[in-house]
Amino acid sequence: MDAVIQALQSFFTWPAPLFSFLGILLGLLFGFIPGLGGSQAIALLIPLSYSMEPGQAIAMMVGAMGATPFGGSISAILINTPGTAQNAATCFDGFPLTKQGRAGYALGASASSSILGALFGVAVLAILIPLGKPVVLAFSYPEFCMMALMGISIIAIVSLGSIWKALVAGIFGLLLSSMGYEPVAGSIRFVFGVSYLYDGIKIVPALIGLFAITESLKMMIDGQQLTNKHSKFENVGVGVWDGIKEPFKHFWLFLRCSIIGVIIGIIPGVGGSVSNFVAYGHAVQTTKNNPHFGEGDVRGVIAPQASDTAKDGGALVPTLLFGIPGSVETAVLLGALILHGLQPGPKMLLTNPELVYVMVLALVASNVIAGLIGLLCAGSLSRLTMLPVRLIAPVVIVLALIGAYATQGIWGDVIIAIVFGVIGYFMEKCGFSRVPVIIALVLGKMAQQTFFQTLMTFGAAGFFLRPISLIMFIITLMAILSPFLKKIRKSKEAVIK
Amino acid sequence: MKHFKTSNWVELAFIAIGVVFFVESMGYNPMARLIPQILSVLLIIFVLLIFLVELVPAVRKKLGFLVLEKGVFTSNDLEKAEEESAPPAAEQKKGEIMLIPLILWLLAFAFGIRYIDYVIVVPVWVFLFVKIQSRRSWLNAVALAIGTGAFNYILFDLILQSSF
Repeated sequence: MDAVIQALQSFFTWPAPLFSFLGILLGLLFGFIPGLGGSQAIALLIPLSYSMEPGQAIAMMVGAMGATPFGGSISAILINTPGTAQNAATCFDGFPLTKQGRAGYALGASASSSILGALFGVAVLAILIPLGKPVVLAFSYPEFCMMALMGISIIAIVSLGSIWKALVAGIFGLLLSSMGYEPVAGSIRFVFGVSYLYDGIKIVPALIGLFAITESLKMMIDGQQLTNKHSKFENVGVGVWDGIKEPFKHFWLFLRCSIIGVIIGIIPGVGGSVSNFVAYGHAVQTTKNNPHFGEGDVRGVIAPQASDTAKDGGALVPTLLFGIPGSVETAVLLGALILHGLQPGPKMLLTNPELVYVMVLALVASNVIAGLIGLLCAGSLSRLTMLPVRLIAPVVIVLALIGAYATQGIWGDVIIAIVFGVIGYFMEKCGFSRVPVIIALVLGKMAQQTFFQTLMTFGAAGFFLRPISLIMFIITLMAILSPFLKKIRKSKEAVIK
Repeated sequence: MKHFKTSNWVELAFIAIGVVFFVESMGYNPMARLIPQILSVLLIIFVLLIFLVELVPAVRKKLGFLVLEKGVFTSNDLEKAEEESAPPAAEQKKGEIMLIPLILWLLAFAFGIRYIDYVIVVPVWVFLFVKIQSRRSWLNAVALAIGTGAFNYILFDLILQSSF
């Protein structure tokens, strides 16, 4: 209870509300502009948060994260272009509603299902956090080491695209994390004569590069207009109130889709691009009363939006309990927390429980405020999408690189951001997921440190004699061997047939 | 044997990184080299498999399941949407060529903020970038340069008082 009171004090003490509001505005804008998203917004906010108190920084970054899904739904509904990947399914019925002149109705339904979905996700998060404490107390060096390895291998298994390529990305990230000071003996490794690398690859410029710079390069190269110049944004303010009431009329659908969002959020590394399709598919399959999906059925807006925002609360569960991010946004957030001297995962629950509740408050506030702002400004925001991407990209590049430089005033950070931007571009283009690289960079040092600490404290048997560590080892092994296991199973099935 | 694609060059780059890390780590003490050596060997083997599966049909037939196995949440809808939005091969090639000047622009910005003050570099760079690279009007270039320059100055100098 003390932690909750401290969190309330921290969240409502000036200037935290201002920073939270600014984060929400940026998240709404980045969610709304196709090509940008929550991860880019957080990456850009990291340098700005450097001089802030941890509570203020968290309020700002979680505010940005929470506002993105609703921001993305505005462009999905009004211009048939999802602002982020997690709003793709919202287009299916949102845009047909706009074409029928019922944009305000669709936006109202999107806003209220987003707010309610977020509240549901946050409630689950608030319930699970105290329950996680006994699990956390059972952790020692072997569990931390196995947790890091398990996190990377599971993210490969559940990620989009090739598992093998995601594993390669994870190993590459781990290798990069071994640059600089070796954490146990202090030897210097892989600096190649560059003094900047003595501290290893810093997470912030790497994050900025992999997300903000990579996306800007893609924008410049693809160069497509975000929306048609002749788009009309009419009737945006009509029918909003009717739309707001819709999730209550379809409460069970809303609830089921929120549960889907929370579950997918909890699974590390999956995130909204999956949850909105799953929730939409569920709505299509289970709706019996006169469905008109694809032609402007409001249930096709409620389902993906509820799951999108509910997943944010779910995604914070593994992030806060185990330090394993549940989504791309939480992966970036994890890096930001480390910059503020916080170790997300078990330690944070014990040492800074109030900050965990600040996240909960910030997530609720961001969804409510983003919903209100979005409804008020939807019409004007829509005109922003007519801006050519080749005008947006240079602004993002400048903000990203100056942000990387401002973090510590080290010029090498700018170069690292550029290098990682180019690496990210090629990885993206060739089907290598960027998320495992970031997670490995975040968890890599801890994995190596705890590996040797386990050997020195428990011996190699320490990994296998402690039950939690052993279970994690088995899961990791199964994750890596899963393609082989599937192949064997398929061969057996073929023989039986 | 198929022709080399961009992805094959990327895979070769990964293998080269693995080799460099392995060779470099040989000079370290046993504790410092153990994990990097394991990781670099794993990286080389994993990427080599991808490389061979993509280029050699016989290997693809035998081991293709390894590389082609998708994550459990890779749905057909998503894959289809990605395929539809992917540019054709000719445009991809053009994209790679376009990347070179973009990298030079980024490096110019980086060196600019190192050797000249960022307050000058930001508006000048934005102006030149928008005019030359984005090929927009003078008005667009001037407006964006002034706007971005002023925003950065207010944010980093006046509000955050960053010392760089």
